[in-house]
Amino acid sequence: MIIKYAKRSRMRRGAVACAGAALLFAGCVSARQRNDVFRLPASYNFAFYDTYTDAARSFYAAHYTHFGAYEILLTQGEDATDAMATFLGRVHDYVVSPPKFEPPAEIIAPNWSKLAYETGSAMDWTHMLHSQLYDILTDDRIADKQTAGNQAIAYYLSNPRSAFSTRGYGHRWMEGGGKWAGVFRRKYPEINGVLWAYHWHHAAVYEALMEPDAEQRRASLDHVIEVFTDSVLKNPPKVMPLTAEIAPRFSSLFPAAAHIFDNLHMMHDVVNDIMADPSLSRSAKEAEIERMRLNMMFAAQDSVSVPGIPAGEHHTMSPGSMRVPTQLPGGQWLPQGHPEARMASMEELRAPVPAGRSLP
Amino acid sequence: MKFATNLIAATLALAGAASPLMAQEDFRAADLDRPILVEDAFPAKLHEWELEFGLRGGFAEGGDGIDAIGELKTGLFLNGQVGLEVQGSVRDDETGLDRTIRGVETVRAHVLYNLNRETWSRPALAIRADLGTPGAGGVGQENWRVGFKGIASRSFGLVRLHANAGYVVGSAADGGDFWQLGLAVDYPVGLFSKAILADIYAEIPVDAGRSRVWAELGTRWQISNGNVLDFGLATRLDEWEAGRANLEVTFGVSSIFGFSGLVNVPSYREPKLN
Repeated sequence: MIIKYAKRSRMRRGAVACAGAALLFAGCVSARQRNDVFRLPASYNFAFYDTYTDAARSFYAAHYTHFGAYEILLTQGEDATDAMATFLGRVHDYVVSPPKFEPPAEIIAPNWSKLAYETGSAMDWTHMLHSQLYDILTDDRIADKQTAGNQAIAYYLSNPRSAFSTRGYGHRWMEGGGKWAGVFRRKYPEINGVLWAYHWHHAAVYEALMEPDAEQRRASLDHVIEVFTDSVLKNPPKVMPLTAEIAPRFSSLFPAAAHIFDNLHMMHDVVNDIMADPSLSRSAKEAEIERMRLNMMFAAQDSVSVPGIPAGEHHTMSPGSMRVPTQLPGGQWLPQGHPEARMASMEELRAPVPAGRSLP
Repeated sequence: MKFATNLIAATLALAGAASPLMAQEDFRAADLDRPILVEDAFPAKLHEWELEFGLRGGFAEGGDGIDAIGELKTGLFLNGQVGLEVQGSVRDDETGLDRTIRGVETVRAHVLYNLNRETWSRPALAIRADLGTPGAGGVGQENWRVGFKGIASRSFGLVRLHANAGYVVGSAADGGDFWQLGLAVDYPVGLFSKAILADIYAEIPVDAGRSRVWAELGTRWQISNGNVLDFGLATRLDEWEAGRANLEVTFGVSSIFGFSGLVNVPSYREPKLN
């Protein structure tokens, strides 16, 4: 009798536990998940970090600046001038003495990550492609850089939730995506300058790594870091630089990657602007960031209408940002911003592009 | 205790030999046993593999002992992981005989599924199921054991809390069924790729018997892009009685990696650029 009771009691407990788990599962079926995917396993992984450790670590201050700014704007308000000034001091400390390993977004921006995890995840996924292309160009065991790089890009694009578009949007989304365009750079020009300087740095390192000889590569890389710290960081670009403007050889080799990185950088700016716009509530910021992410994803690139660049006093076009993706007679592409790509007219750039239509 | 000494030496050798193959994005991961008994709601990434090895040595007035735990787990599907763990022990015989007993305590398989990410208003939730085999040798588990657990993780700024609640079905020879309850906290130390973790974890027998309660404090240090070391101190609070003291020390290493042959890479076709 006692045994029977014990068995029944155990079964009841089991049934309650199963029912609880089922209810929990049902409640979460439509919930958003992390959907994290591991990097492409390859022999070249971390070749750049292991060979040029200082150069690899120098990027970590950029990641800190991006995600740190989001966190401040979320937790301390859109007009956090004092906090931003203190933050800028820390950024300069990290420029000189960066973290040893890449800090994940959730460590730098724990609250913002709850708001926009999918965007942070897409950014981290694209940073992974950044790293792998640096690794491929660094690793002399990889003889066919083009094939290895294309394989890394193909793997990157196979994660539709996190891969940015391969179309050359230039500055279209950050200038024409919403009324928040330019808010951050007008409020916080110094932080914005650091970020654009780092966009230059990311591209310039690619170009240095295009040198075929290891010794030349190191010399070229040293020069890039010297120019970055001595010149670019002190006198940052006035417009967001495009990858192909700074790294034409790299961009000719991997035009899709050049566009992916430009779109990543543009998304960083878009998030800055949305987070700095005081007219948007927290939930409106969350929705707007997600709307922009979905617009700029690879998965959506054939079905979204792309905005034109509005005329206005707040936007300065660099010559590079007016050069549009151009196909050469042999079929090869020159990406947006490439010095030899076609210069578009202002009318072309100002016109929105309907879904399914090619950019001019 | 020679076996234990050899295990420690082997662990140190493994830690030194591990190569930086892949980025350890989450040195902060509260993985079961590494070094605390409460875990977080975040599974391995899809295609990610992780090998963990650790030791837990106990120094108590009733007798010393050391457990060795090896685990291989992988993100077999999106938001889910499976793992296989082998746990062995060598310890003083507590029956009063002056001898050491050893063996494989259990081999345990698990599946963990993350139901949702953390949002502004609700925690990340996961469910986990475990199946443990009978062991071998003097310390082996007598029969099969099945466990189910719910896991919640919630962050408050940089502080992250983890709550575990589970139920384990075991035979009378292994002490019967018991509830698992645990609460943990982790905190990253600046941007230095180190984290501090602490927990209180209890196993409460469903029938008669004393609850087993652990208090633990640990740290995880990323030592390269692919490897994390962990250290911890633990104590069985329920055994601090009649002047008896006890302390456990844990030490382990976790390495993450991937197998290119197991990853499907689509062939490259130049995507649309304009």
